[in-house]
Amino acid sequence: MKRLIQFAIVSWMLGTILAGADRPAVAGPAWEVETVYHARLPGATAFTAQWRFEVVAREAGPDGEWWHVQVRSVDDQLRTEAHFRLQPETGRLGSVRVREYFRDAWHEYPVLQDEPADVFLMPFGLIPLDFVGRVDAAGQAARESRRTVSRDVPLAPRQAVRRHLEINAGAPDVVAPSSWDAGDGRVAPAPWLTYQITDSLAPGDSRSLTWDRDLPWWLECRSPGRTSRLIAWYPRGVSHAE
Amino acid sequence: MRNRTILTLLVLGICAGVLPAGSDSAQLPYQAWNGHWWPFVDAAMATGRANKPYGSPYNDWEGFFAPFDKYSLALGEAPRWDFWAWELQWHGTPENPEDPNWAEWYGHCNGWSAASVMEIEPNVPGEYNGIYFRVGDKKALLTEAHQGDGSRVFPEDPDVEPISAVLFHVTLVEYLKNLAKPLIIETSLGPQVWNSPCFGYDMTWTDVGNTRQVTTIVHLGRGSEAPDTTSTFVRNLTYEYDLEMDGEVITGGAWRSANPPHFVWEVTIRSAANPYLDYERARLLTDSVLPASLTDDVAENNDTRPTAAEVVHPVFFGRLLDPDYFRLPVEAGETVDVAVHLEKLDKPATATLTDSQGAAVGTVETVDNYQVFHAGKQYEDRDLYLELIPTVPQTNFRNYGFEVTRESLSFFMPHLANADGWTTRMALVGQETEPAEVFFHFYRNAEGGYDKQHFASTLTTLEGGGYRMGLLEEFFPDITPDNERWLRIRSDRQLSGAFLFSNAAYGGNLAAVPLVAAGARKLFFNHLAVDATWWTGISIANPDISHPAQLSLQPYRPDGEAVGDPLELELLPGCRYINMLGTAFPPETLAEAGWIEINADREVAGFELFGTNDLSLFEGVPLQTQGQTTLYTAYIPAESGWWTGISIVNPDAGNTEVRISAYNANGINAYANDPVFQYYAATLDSHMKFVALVDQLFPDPPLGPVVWLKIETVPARPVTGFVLYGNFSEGVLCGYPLVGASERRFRGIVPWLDGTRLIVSNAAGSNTAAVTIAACDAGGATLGTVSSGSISIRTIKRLDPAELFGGTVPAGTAFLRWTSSKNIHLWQEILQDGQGTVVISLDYE
Repeated sequence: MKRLIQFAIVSWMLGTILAGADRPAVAGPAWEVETVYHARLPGATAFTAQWRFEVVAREAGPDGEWWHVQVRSVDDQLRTEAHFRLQPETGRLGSVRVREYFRDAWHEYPVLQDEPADVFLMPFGLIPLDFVGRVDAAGQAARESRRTVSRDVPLAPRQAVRRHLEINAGAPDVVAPSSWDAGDGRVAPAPWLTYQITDSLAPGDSRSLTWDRDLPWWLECRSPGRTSRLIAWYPRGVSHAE
Repeated sequence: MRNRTILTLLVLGICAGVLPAGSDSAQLPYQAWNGHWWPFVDAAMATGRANKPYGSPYNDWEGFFAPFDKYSLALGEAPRWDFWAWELQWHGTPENPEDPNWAEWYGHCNGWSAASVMEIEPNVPGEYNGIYFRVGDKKALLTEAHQGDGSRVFPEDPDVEPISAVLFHVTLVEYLKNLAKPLIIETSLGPQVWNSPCFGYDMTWTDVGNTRQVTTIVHLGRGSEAPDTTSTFVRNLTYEYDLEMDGEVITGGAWRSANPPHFVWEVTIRSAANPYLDYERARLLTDSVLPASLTDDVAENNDTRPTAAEVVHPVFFGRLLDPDYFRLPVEAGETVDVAVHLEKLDKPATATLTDSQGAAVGTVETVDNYQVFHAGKQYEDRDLYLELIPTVPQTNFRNYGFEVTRESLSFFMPHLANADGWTTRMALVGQETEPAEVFFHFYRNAEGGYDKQHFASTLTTLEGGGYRMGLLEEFFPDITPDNERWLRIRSDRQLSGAFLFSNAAYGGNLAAVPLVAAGARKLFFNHLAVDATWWTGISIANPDISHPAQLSLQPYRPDGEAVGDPLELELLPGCRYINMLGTAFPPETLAEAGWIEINADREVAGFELFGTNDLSLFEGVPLQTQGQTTLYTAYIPAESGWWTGISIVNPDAGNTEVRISAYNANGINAYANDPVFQYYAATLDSHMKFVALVDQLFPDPPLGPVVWLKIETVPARPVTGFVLYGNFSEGVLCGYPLVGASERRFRGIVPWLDGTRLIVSNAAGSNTAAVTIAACDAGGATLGTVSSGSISIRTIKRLDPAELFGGTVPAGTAFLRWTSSKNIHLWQEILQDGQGTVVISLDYE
């Protein structure tokens, strides 16, 4: 595990350095998500951001391949970035790192969810990283299921909060299989499975996550405050030759 | 003794199941800076009136030297323009203080909260391009720069359920302690919103059984301090709540505080609510520092009268290190005041307003701590000079300033023609009861700018409710023949008017255009016909004689798609663009275009003129400036040989269904007995145009003939439109814009011209109306009066005044003055010798 973390840190730094040079190595797929942030405060307006998820490194481990994914805004206008590890086959996510720019400086935050798991709710910020892996459901003949994930999440020394995540899986209408491997960025969404996640900490803030059967990232993620949709998929990555 | 007491209490506490369980605290490495919440009352950032309500008095605040003016002047942008106007409209006191969407507690608390944690505190004054920035100015600009910030709110929908005690506790600890991220707390559970930045907390708790009784003191920035504050005072707010515990695990909780918070949020995206504030440019100002020595202002070198700087903006801030002279061009008809603010200078100085000979102009009034020079109404175009003379150069970094106020109403006619057979007839009405002094300004394009022309006028004062009509040569006996002028009429009273163009060489055909009472920055050019038969011309004037206007003319296809490149124009100050569309746009664009949207960065005035290439037919229509959700036509002629076309454009961003209902002479839907068809419906997506002949829309109406049309939109969206009708065999072409209910009047004036018909419409009314028509001579004396008879709701009458007066109007009739018992629409249709035009009746009080 220690080696994995070291690898993650090296990859994070490498990705950052290479991104700074505008020519990172194309290590794997890339995809883009558009998020509409609904106005939540009086007088505020909704705004839209596009995020590019880019696999900047791959790592073969005893439990399968891990992708090191970097997330930045497509136009680089939003000065917040994330990096995480994703196991595309098993649908687990971990080692989430985020940094944000304000007060004229970058602020880096502690690693979130160091240990990979199939459920992750992004606790702060802009980047749409809520995740409930759909791998468990992949083999089920019937995709209707219900489960509760209970965790005592450490909050402070000698203090934790008990959270129950109720996850309901439902099958949307069956549609034609997706053709996401076209390689030209087109997405032909084929909604296959939708999760409804209710967190006991904020029961009104339930999320829904819709998956394609084949893609390793969700098609849509909705909460009362924002709606994110996958808008482009590049199986062989994106060129940085410009 | 003290230790024994504590021990005793502890033992008693344990016996009662109470344990003093612990405490926790967190503090960010920085403190949210204190500042001012900048209430929307008076739009203080734009007006400088940062003192009321709720607030403390601010000693020595800038007052006149408002942050927004400093921003514009320092960055070389036009002050008191879009940036400033937006703030007044959206962050200012509304015109109607009883507006249900307004409350005095509205302000910038969210912008200040966000700025105070996302930006490093400005704590020293600065200077940029000779403009002095106080700490309060800098904080104001940063506050505005964050007023529209995006947020992540906990809970995400707090209007459904405010934040729970557990979510508050967890979010506070997670953000401030674990992530070292600031939070903002909306502290008011009621309808008011009061945001405060949180940068630390102290928590203590006591466990009673499985209940942890928590007292949390949050450390907040203070938003009700003076704009210049750099204080480090902290606002502490205490919240009490219970957490249900399973050992050291929180499993639930509830508020004990009577006033818990509404929600908490973090800043996610920086966004200025005011779209005209540029963050990067604002940072040039907020990061500025004072230089080692004073720098002079951008108007230098203006140390003498011959080198005086021209005043092109209504406000200027400068430095008085040496004499400063300003030249102020004024136009006849303007009433001019100049307010001079020297109160921030540390050395005495004098201000004088003079004419070009150095003689003092007007009167001087001292108001509070500044002077106002009342130059009064101007009766000639001339230059005034403002002289600012320091006794000794100032030594502080503050600015002096002045503000020029010009009062007058302007009315425009973007085209005049009185050469090559053309005549222009002008009709003017004084709309108010008081006499109106009128000042005529003729402009003409010239190399690099405009030429101003003056012609002595036979009309200098229009009596209240008075009316004059005549050819240009009758108003201006010395006027020279020219087809290249445009006209501004200045007055301090409301006027209405119309212009009728005619050319005897082409059969004396008439085209009428109303006097334009206001410019606009978005205009719609609804009719566009350029082919082997038709031509269309456009005339747009820039009435601003100090600043150029940038225009973009974008043609659209009827299906709403933009076609071709927009025509980008720069109209120099006081200049006009006039052209045939066939020259302005390539033929392939015109072949597809149905209408044109005009966007300008300044208010411009314009109209379109169109006709047949042989000029046997032509008509003028003012450019449309705003749509309405319900519109009406005038009378639709049904006689053989007459045709009527209707054109409707949806300039809105959303789509709508346009429903056109046809009514007969009795005010009944011409299809009332049709079980299926009641109205014609056309869906207009954004920027689509609908055009059709009325006969095609409503063939063979069972209860016809059709006399007028009502146009409604569902959902209600403003659309614009106009009607064109005529008779080719009789050589008549008439056109007019569709009208809405707001354009109804109960009295008006109609110029008397042979062939006049009055189209009186009670289509939008709810009660029967009757119109009294008085024939008046040129002096306004009544020569005779007739009545229209009753006009029922939803009906229209087309009246021949001559018939009403028994065959001919009284001798000496110059105009008709009409009054109605109810608000109605009234058009004047003029059909002379087979030529026709339509003008809208002229208002008067």
